[in-house]
Amino acid sequence: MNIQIKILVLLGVCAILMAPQSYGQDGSALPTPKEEDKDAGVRFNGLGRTILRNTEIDGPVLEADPETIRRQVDGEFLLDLQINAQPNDKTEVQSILRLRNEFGGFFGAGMSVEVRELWARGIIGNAIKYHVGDMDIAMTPYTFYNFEEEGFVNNPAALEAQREVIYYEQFYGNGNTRRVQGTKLDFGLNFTHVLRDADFSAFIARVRGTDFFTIPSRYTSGGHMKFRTRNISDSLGMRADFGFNFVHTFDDLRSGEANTGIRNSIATFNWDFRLYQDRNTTVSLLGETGRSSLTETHDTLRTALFSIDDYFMDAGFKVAFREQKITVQGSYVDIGPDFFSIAAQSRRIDLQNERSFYDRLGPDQQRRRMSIFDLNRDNLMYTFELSDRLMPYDPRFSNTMPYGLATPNRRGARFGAEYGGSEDLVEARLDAAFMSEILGQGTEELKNFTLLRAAANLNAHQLLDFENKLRFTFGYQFENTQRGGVPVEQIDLMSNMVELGVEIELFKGFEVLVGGKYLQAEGNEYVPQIDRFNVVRNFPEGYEADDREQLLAVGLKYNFNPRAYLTMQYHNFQSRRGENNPIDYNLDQIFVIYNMLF
Amino acid sequence: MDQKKYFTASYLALFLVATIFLTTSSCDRDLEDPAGPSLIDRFADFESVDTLTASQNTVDFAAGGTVFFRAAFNKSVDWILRIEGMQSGAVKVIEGFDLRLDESNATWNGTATTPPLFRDEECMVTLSIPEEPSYGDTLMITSLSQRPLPTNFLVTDFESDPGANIILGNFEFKLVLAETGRRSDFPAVVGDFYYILTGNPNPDFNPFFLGLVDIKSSIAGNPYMQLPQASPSQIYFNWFMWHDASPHAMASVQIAVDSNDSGDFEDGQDAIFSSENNLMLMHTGWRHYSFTMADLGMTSDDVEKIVAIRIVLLSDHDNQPTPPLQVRFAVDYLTFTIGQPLSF
Repeated sequence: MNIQIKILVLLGVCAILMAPQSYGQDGSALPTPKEEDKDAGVRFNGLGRTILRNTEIDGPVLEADPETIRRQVDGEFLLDLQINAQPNDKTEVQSILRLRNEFGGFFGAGMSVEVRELWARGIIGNAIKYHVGDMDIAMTPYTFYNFEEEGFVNNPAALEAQREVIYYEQFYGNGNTRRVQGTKLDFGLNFTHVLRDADFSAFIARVRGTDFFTIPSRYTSGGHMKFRTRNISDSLGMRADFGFNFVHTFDDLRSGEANTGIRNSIATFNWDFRLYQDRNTTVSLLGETGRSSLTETHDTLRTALFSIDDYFMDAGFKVAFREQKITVQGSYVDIGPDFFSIAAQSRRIDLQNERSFYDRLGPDQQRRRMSIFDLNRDNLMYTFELSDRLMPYDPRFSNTMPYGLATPNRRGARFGAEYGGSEDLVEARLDAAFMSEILGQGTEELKNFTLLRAAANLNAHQLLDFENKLRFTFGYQFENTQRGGVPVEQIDLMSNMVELGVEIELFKGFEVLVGGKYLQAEGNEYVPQIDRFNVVRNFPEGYEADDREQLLAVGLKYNFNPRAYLTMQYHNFQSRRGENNPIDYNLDQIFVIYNMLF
Repeated sequence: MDQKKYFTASYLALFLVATIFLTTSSCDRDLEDPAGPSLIDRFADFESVDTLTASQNTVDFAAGGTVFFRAAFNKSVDWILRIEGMQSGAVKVIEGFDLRLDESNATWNGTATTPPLFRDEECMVTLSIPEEPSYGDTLMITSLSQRPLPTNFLVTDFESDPGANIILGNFEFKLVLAETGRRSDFPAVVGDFYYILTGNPNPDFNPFFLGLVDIKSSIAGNPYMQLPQASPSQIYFNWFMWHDASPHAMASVQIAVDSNDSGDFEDGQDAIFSSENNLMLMHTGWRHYSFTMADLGMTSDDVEKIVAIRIVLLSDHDNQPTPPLQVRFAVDYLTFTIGQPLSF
């Protein structure tokens, strides 16, 4: 067992011995004692899904490209059968068996049967929770975090159906979890003085298998200790919650013939200090700071072949006005160029993955640039796996923080404001980031980034006293990147993305969905080729953008009940680069999705 | 707030401040050069900022003088500085990848990349950039003297009359005596003289062997070469060999050891050490060669009794046309070095 895990377990055991009370943590899927008898046994749940898609392409790019077929029809019939068993009141096991058939597959061709999920969990001694098998892990944004993909602010409902499929397929759960396979221990303590409670968690997971030759198995381990305090000042409502987080990713050099491997450690301290709270107002200081180290070691030489370390700091405030339903927050961030956190910087979108449709186009079969259409449609572009280097990104969609909050080599300020809730007439959110590089790439000049994101939902049925839902949604992102210097160093890239959606519930459960999405990007940038250890290897060529992408959607959706729906939609997409560009193209798509949870 | 909670809050605040301070201030970033290759180097159009100049127009290498060259560009490029002796034909090439040429990367101390050595002569200096074929810059400087080579273990540079210390072996009368011997018809590596062997192969009688020359160690003043105690693998024999690129000439350079302890070289009685393979000469002009005593299979005892150097002219008979072509080569500056081959 890894030394860090040993330490965490040891700390946990010590804490149990010292604790005046202990208990199993809330949030467990295990039932409370009262529910135990009722829920004991075997349950069958699952998901059934049918997708049928017809996608057609046309445009100037096809004029000299007779090879590309003009129409693709694809789809699948899928059943995920979830079997959940509780052999006793302390143990729960679950598996999901997947039966899948490609659209057009007959007599076994294109059919597959696989185990999609398998785990067991339970409680030891009424104090320690364990989980073995597939599990979803999320810690802080700088340690272990599956940050959101780019290209979305407030996606119209008309475009959400396919995205929901992607999220399900990639195990993107709530709370930015990442699916891994391993084991996890949790336990908590209650205290009577100063501290209210403490939460301890430790896990270890294998995130990559060995090929028995050059690639060793890779493991990620980690854990946290979270502490909540009682009110330090009852009059002020002062409280100080804090935690320690640790993640260690390492290669097991005893697996296979590989003799070099990495060690990536991240240790952080996060806090949420409530300075003041009354019936309406809460003022908090919150943030996280820590450092990372990355070394490549040789198995027999016992020496570090490569080593970097760096730190980050994210310190800010948050003010919430409960009655006005307004929350304002801001923070200063400084994330070093060599800050390396595999599990927090791995992107959901892997641009190197081959897309499932029209990946290459034109007479010379060049790869198509990623588009807003692909982001909404193509599951193959997404991943939940960890990358050992910063993955390529498209600066039109995200240049300020392409690797989430833990994007290295950034310094600046972030602000955010929220208003309302999902059931209010207006729900809105505004985010801004003003960042710059810490270390120049290819020059001593630094890039400056400006990012603005706004989202709003208008529940117009409340305004019009309409019985059924009438909802307008809006999303907007503005991003600008600039760098000075001599002409060849200068960068000026601007992008705008607008999302508009309308959801009209004509009668109970039956909705008309209309949505549109528009992306415009113009300017130049240099996107580096990143080598191992996040070393900038080269700038293959200047990135030029003069792009306009437009995605329109209209469809019908019938909700049989909250767990089953049928939708049929038409999407039209246009990609334009400059004026009369021979690589422009259009996509038309008609699809039907039937989705049922049971 | 009661006192206990007040202290607790104070400790927590202090802990927070200390943690942030320790995390951030204890690891100041040592930011060096920008990440990745320079964008200017990668994408900017090439421009010459400063033309080629020399730190001085004349340089006395024999007195330890050096000269360096200056030039500057707007971006780092692969550049080649070529210095050619107008009389000797010696060539020195200095290469680099940089924004500028200066004392750190473009200093010349009189050495040559291609022998012979530079002498007192005019030298043409040419700066070129392979990626920018349209760019070129040239200037002339004057070398006042030749850079001295080490003479500690010199066998001979043929500058003085060897007398009886050189024995020409024209056993089968195939050497062209009019074109064999100590000559100065073309530039020598050092000084004016070299030793040339020219032969006409005879296909009817031992068509490979043409002739040889034995250079006794006594030419350096002692019956045996006076070499320091060192491993045979650390003792190098060096020589320069001239060839005119005519085909079919081969050479064998051998070391004679006084195995009968007579104190003199006696052909047929003393041991001869030679490398397994003969030198097939294909080059034009002078070229430096070397081997170690260990390469020839000599022991330390053998090294102490080196009594002569033998140089044999051979013909690559198997590939000669009919009638066979004349073959020849010249040698100059025969010397031993310790630890490494001769640096010139």
